[in-house]
Amino acid sequence: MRSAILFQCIVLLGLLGNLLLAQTTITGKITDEKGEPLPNASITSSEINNSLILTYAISDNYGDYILELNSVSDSLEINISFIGFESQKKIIAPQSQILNVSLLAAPVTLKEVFVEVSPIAKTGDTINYNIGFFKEQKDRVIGDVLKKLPGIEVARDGSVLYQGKPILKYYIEGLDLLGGRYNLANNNLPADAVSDVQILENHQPIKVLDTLVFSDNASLNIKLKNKITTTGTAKTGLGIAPILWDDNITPMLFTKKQQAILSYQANNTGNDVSKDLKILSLEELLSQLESNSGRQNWLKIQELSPPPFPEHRWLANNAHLFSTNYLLRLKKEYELKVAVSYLNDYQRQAGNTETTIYTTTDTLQLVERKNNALFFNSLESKLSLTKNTKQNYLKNDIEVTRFWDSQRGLLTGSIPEISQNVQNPFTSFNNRLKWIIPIDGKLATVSSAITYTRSPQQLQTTPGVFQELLNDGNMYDETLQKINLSNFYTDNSISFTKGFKKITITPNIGFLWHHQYLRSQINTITGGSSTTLAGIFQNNLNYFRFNSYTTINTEYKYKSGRIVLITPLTFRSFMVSDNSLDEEQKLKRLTFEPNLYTTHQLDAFWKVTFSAGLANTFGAIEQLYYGFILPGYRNIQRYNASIPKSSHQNYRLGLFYRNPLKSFFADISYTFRHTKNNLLTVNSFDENGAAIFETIERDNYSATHYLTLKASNYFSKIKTTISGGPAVSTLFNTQVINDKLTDVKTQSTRLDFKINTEMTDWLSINYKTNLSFFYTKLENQAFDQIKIQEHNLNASLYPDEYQYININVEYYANTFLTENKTNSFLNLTYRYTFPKSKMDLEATWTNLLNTQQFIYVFANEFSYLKNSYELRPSQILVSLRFRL
Amino acid sequence: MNKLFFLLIVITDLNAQKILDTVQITCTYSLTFQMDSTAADKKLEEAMVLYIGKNMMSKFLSYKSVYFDSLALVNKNKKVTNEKDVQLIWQQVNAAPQSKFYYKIFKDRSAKKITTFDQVLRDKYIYEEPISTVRWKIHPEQRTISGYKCQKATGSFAGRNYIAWFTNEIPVSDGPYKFNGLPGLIVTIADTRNQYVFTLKKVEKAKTGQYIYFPDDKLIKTTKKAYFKAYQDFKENAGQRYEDMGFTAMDPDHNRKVNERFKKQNNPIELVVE
Repeated sequence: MRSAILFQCIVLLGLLGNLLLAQTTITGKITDEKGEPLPNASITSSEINNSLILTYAISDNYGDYILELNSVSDSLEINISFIGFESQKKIIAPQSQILNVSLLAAPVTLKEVFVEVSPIAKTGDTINYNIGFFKEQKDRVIGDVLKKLPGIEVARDGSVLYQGKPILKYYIEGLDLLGGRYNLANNNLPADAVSDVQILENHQPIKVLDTLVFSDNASLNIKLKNKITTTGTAKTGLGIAPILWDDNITPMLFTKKQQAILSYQANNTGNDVSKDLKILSLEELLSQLESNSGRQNWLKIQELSPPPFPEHRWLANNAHLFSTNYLLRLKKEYELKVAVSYLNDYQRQAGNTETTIYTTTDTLQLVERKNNALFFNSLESKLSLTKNTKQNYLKNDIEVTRFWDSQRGLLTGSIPEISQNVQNPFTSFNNRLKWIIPIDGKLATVSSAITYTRSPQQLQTTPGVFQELLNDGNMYDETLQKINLSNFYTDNSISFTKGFKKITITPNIGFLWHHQYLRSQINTITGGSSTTLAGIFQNNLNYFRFNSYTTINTEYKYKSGRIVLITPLTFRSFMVSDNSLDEEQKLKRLTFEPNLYTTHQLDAFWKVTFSAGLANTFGAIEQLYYGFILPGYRNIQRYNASIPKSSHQNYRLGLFYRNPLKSFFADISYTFRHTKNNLLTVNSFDENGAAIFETIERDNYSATHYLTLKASNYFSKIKTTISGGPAVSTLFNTQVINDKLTDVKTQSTRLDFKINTEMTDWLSINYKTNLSFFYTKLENQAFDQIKIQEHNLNASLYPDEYQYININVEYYANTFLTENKTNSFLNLTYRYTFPKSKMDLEATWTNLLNTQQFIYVFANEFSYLKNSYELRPSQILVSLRFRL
Repeated sequence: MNKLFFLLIVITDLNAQKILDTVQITCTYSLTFQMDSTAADKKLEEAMVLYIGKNMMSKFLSYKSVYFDSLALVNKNKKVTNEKDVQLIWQQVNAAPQSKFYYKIFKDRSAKKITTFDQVLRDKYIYEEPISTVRWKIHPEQRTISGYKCQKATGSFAGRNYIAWFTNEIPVSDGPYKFNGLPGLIVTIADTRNQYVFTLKKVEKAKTGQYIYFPDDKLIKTTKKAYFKAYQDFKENAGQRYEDMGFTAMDPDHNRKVNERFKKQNNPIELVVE
């Protein structure tokens, strides 16, 4: 209280002092020649003929000013100036007075300066991601750095995602050398060779479309330090139990005219080298889908589903990979690319499967012990020619692929021992062309895809199976299923793009022709003599599909959002015929499948998205053959019904809330899908639990509801983020199970929770858990819930700049009825980086607890599966990695 | 591409922009700054532009952002159909480096306030503060800088002490960043630690038809204090924030690495926010 009074006295004294000192003030109004007030003018006082300003004032909104004087001279010069007006000088005596001034407008005169702006800030981090800024001592290859670039996510398979979507293109120095197989670069290009990584948001890779077609995809460009670079990485690793190796040598060359990456990799540590050959970029994935060159494996041994954690804990492999990629820039902006790769891998799998099949009348149980050997042998080659300029775009790809894969499986358990042998070689040839040319201000796009594939496959089971059906109920030695499928596909279209201000319209017209020829036969072999089963055990099937279509794609963009409407009208005609079985059917349909997508930003915090659409699917050859085929030793199937037709309705509504002021983010989305099918699948089981699938004609419906909610909040006081939320999906459909029509409800609920904390500089802890519940109801019979828990705790320690320790604890639990299966894992990683050299020493000890098997329970509508998968034993691997 | 993205944003937002004033003078400053207070040797330089309007408004922003304004202008004059113009500007956008500063500072002398527009990731904020940021003290010291006769003034702002040199030969009471209130244009201003130094490099009369726009986007209106808190929270937690945007990091030390990087941005121009 006392101090407050004291303070007031001081303030008062101060004011008094001010008044005494600054007793002289000049007040007045500044106006222009018309008498309008001039705000913002400068009024300064100085001594006569001296430019040094003593005091100043600036006129307010009414042109008024108060200028305090602070001088001992006899007279002062008052200078009134304002940009765009002629300055005025007044000589006055230093005493309080009123001084109104009217200024005359004059053109702005500036000594137009001087120093040119320095070549704009060529220093430092000038481009999106300067690698020097992100790269730490421990980062070796560009993939290590990519992971920590804000906004970039590297998924388990190596895909680079930006804003949750796969990147469209992966460039090195603006050139797309790898055509989507960019793991090879990510895992082997030394980070030191890179100067910048650019994320090209809303990237339109086709230059001619640049200003016309908006793209919401992102691409990535790697910029190298030196324009001519020979680089690469090499790694060698050794380990025990049993003897382990992991080697990799990947040299690279980058110049202005050409680029090349060669790679040889070999390991038996569970490191899946084929990942490096996987196509990851969105563009290539989409174009592959278009050309329908996918491989179908009709015949399979009984495989084991792998556990839900990284493959180096369970994959028993022995792999060799050789890959070469070469790019050459030709004259006239043409670009030629060649990619050839050869992969050889031998993988083993072992485990048990216990299958319990529930039907409305019965419960069947089946126990299998599986021992599988998978052989992969493949050669893939691709030649592309591209021209990408502002004027036009041309791209042609030729791909030739050959696989010589085979699988061997041995089954033991509650059933008689069965060995299976699959040969599934595959040959494919495919050509894709895309050509874009401007015609009268519009862009015309010509696309063409041609594919031819051939896959002669066979499955051999010993002893023979399905005796009732295949061998009059007598036991026999061997069943041999042979299939030869050839496939010709072509899709050709032309489209025009025209933009009007906010609307872009793209009409498209084209046709598709698809012919497949399937031959199959089943042989029963007894005592070395083979009998080819005739009639319904053979297929001689021709499948023709012809579509002619026209689509109009309309996109409207406005300030707060975007509306896209796609309206495809398709005339479809199908013909399936099997002359030897005397079966034939035809189908002609005109379909209209509109799709609407909208996104709207309500305000800075809320966004809403909505989409709705209709779609139709028609049966493919896999659901359209009349003779029996044995795809695996315990199912035999045929589809002697009409062509499957399904029509779908899809709706999705999403609501997003972000409040960065409170660090709170949440979103909710609801999806509904309704499907009408004309066929019902009939599942029947023989006494061994072997399945026979057939279909009957009967309209039936299925409906799926999917609801998710996610929220996260950051607590700045404890430097911790907590996030999580539930997801519920419910499926209603109808199935025929052992001759009975059954309504099935399947529900799965998942709860996620995550907590992430950075307590100190040297320790960060991340804990993730999720709980899932699966629940199935057949008619009025409800089955017990399955509960799955996953817990994952990661502690990272950084004793100093050169050392990194990671402790990872995982716990999985599966509860079904009273059974509770648990699996625990402990893994350690230690990394030491030699401060000076470019070398890295890493020791990993995986599976410290030596957990032998991973056990989990899986459920679908009418069966429960208990699987065990043999894991890699506790192992230690020490590896050294260096730059070439 | 990344730049194109911004460009497209601008194109789509064009009609939304509000014209506040007509530009009279364009001043280009160079800004030398130090992002990491512990790395005095690591100084960066960037060009910044101050547009001074005829009617009491001014706008201060990075040189980079200027291109977007020019683009807005192209559209304003309905020339956007002229692909060459867009192409040309785009080339310039490409040539210019990425800015460290997203802010756009609008000084409004008639309303006596400064409105700052700033951006963190996708979130765009605006906040206001009174125009009289600094209590200037002028000193009887003169110096000719870049051909202009300048006088010294000192003052403090947001935790830093500044020395400014202004010239009455350009009688506008404005300057770079949020600085203003002297009887003439600020030609150079530096904090006493030389961590933020603005120097006038170029001053020219505006071409006709140049305007000061205000981005009329979906903005989060907040206070200066709340904005700085939100930005601080973001920096502390950047890794997680990116995850919230839908990126799931596979690498356990991903978040930490991102956070580490943001920790290096520890030296903002405004150290203290009341």
